[in-house]
Amino acid sequence: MAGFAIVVYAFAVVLVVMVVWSITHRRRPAQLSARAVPVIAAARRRALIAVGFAFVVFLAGAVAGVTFPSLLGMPFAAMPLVAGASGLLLYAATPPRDVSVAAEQVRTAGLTRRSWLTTAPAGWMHVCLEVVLVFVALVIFCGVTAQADDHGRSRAIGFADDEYATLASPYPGWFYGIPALAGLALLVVSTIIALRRIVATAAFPHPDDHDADAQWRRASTAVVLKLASGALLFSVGGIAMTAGFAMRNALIEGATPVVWGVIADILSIMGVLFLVLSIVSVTLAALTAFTIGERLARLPEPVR
Amino acid sequence: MITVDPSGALAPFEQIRSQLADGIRSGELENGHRLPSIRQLAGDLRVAAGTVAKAYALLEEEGLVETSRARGTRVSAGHAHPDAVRDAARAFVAASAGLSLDEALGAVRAAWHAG
Repeated sequence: MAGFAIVVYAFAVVLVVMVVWSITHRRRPAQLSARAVPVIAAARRRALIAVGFAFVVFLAGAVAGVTFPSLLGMPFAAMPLVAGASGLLLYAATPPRDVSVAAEQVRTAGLTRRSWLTTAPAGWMHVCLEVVLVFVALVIFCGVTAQADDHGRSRAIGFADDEYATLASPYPGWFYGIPALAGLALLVVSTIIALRRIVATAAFPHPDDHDADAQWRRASTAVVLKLASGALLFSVGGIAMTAGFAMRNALIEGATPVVWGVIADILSIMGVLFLVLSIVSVTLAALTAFTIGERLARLPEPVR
Repeated sequence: MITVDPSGALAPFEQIRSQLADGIRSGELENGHRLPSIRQLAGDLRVAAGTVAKAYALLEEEGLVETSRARGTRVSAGHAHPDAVRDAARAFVAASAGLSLDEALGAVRAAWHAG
């Protein structure tokens, strides 16, 4: 029943994001040249397939985590990151469609060097970097504060006073933290590969298509970063929420310092918040992928 | 922005070289400007990487650009025409309305030899 409720909440978040997106953005009619239309359509399809594939891999990981309890929830630790990386690697492996150029046609090119650092939207780049920092800090904190369970695995947290000792599990100690860090490394590498692939794609050779070229490149890098952010946020959210709940369960009333209770509450709230934000981020990735090539404009401010 | 015309009289590498040289001398490409990588420019112009590499090598021989592994290919300092020359060129172009580029350059050549 709880699982069903979570799915309903997730769908509600997706719906809200879609409604807000459609209210705050309006589409201008696409003014693409006939030669650019198939290329833009292919770019849109490529990005949507990447987002869809990441979602399928994520679902497969979630099913594996539920189906095989002997894995002790290990798939949940790294699967969001592996899923995001899978989508991005598929994106990078899919060859982009090129504009057909006749042998005698005049070609033009800009003289500005493209790089994945300059092409990517600065805002989403910051989001990714900051979530990575939070991720690493959280994994280290949980790893350091974790204790060994009955089988010696770093996946529990406990407190003790003169009379009692408690131990709560699962707690995201190194048992989950190491695979999560490996997943993080994979996601970072995949993101850079996907961004470099966008940058390395040849520009439209006709000067009239310069804006369309810049638009698809900017939108595609935004899809990559939103998908990567979604994967990161989900992983951080899961780790934080699990840590918060385990810590709360292990607290000894009146004996454990109050600060641990505060940390547990912060981690629980942060976990839920990041999980919601991850759904928002992936939904935005899909919406952006769906509108590559369209000029989107925010609605003008109402006149007062 | 540079253009390559495959059916032009000049070889593609020479078209690239001359346009970049003009851009550097006119000041359009400023000192220290980082040019696109050979791979990027070759891909965008749909020419072989060797064509762009040859153009860059010739520009380096002329001292117009400097290439290093870490910093890429950058415009060298001190090759832009003086401001007075650029201003005169702009004034000449404005006064040459109705002439083709070849005709206008012919007038410059004639004045150059006469002077």
